[in-house]
Amino acid sequence: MSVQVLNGLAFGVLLLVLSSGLALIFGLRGVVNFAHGAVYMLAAYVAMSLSGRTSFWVALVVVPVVLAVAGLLVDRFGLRYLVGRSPLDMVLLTFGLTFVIADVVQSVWGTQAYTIDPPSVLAGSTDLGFATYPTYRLFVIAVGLLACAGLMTWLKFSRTGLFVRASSDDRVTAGAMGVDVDRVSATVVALGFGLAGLAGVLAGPYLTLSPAMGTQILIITFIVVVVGGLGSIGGPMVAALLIGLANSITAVHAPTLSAYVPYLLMLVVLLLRPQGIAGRRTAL
Amino acid sequence: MKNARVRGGAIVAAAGLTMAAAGCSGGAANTAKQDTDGPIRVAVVTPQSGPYAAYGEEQRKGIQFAADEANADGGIDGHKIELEFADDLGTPEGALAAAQKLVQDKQAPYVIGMVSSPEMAAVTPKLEAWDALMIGTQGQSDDLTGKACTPRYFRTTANDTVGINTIAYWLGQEDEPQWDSIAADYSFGQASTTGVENALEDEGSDLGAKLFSPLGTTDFGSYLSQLSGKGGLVVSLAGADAVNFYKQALQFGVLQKYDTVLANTGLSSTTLAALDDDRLVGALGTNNWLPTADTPETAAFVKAYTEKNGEGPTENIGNGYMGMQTIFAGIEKAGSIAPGDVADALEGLTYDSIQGEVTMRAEDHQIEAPTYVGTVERDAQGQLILKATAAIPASENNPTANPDCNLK
Repeated sequence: MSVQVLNGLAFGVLLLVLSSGLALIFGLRGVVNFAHGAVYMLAAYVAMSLSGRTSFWVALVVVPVVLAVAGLLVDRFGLRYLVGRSPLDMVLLTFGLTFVIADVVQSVWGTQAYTIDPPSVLAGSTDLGFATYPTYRLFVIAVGLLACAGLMTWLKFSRTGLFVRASSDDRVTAGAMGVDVDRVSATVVALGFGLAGLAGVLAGPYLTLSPAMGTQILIITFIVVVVGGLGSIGGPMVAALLIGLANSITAVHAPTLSAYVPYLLMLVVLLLRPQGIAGRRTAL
Repeated sequence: MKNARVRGGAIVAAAGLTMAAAGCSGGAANTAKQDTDGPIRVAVVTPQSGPYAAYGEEQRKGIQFAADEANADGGIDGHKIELEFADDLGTPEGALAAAQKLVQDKQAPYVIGMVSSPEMAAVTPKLEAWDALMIGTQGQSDDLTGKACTPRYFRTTANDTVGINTIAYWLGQEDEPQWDSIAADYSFGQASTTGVENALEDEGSDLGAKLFSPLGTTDFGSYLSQLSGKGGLVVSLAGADAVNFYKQALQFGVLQKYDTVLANTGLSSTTLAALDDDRLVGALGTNNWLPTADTPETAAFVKAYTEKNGEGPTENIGNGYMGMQTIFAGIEKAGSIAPGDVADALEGLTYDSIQGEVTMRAEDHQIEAPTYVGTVERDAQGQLILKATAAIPASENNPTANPDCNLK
């Protein structure tokens, strides 16, 4: 059982990092970022090539930063011009990006699957007393939780965090109070892309790289955000861990149900509490 | 404002998904027109994107090689080969739209290259109306040569029953008393598990853990913790699922505990190349054809392919190639490139292929060909390969026609 909890945590934490980025961008720009899965996939592939030439640790730092810069550019030269137009325009932009990224990945790295070995320090298993568990998965759990704790602290206690919360609550009033909403949004989109990048790098040695990896995880990430409550950050965090755990526990105790669990959870939440777990549209 | 935005997003999302899923189909049943003296036009319908894209690429390589080789030889029965390509997205709707486009607009009546059974099942009912002929080079569903069989569909690879008989034949040679099984939760994995269960029962061996993972499982952690690590393990997973499973099983240290690991089809060259892990050496795998198969025809094909492409063929490249060999054999026998004549000629035809002499069974259009068992080794070039150790003849793997289909 404790191993199942760890399994659930590992996958849940990956969803956690991905969905916080998605939720942040939705909060500020009001757009469901369809490119989120593609960015995650791109990060995994770039990290693979980069770790081959340098090391995993370099990739872990460099790839999220590079993608954050890319996010900044997407916001500055794309999303910013579409504010105030129909949401379809923004969605089409991000939807289009997924195709571009997917084709770039396919033409550079091909269609075959790849696996990456974890760095040698994290390669073996760790004896936890009650079970031995792959060290790399423990690392994923730790890094993911740290990243999310950092994000929450930043949102709650920093000045920019305050602006982010204010802008995603009511961008017009925030703007009237002197907050540069475009600048805040750019920061947040960059952060969102950076988090997708981090998830991608972490996923490399944990899962398998294939051109389908982005779409597969994007669907679950959408579910996480809906279950957590669109526009909230804390809600999806809870939902990510919940879905991760539910997945791993049903895989053992009710295997025939396991494929349906995320969808069932979404159904129940939409029927009983359509606003999601967080309930109210706030930044936290 | 907020609700409008949320609702807008949801509508857009739904519209996007619908757009992605929908393909156009239907259309009039006008037949493919092909000049009887002209080239042989082949519709290469493969997934170029989506989860099956890697398989699609392999199929195209094998088909292209066969066409180039035949053209360099002066064509087949005096006809040049021309290939037309379309992306079927790996979906049944996409396959139908792509096949229809190539057959009717591009007058390419010989359809080949689809990867999954659902793609094929969407197209096979239309073949007669289109006056086309299709060769199945990968999907294994029994139904395509069973209750859904059609006169214009021929399968040149193993089906589920053949795969199971291959595993069962091999299990009959082993004396491992205890086994676990993990399989993909769809027809291939379920059929495989049932077959394994029956074979083990006949042997008096026990099947302990019997696990099914949904197609596209990314994290196998929960399944791995249920595997005992005692005796033998049968793995019936394919594609990215197989890669994911083996990689994580090695990380958890589960795979190494088993005395014997036996993979139904999943240990392909591409899977082994993606994993490239020495701890897999010694694992056993079955397949419907292996580049290491000990026949002169296979050796000649592997040599020619490697000379031209600089790397050896994978299993699915061979499957695509063999599908083309079948079209060529039918055309040569018929002395015509009309699909109807070729279909008649193929029924019961015995011809030479990369698997040696094979027969296209008249009753259900399922090929009678050997299947192979192999062991994972590192070859002289340092690549992990599945080295064929035994060939199981068609009389063992596929003795009778599917009773649900009677085309003769």
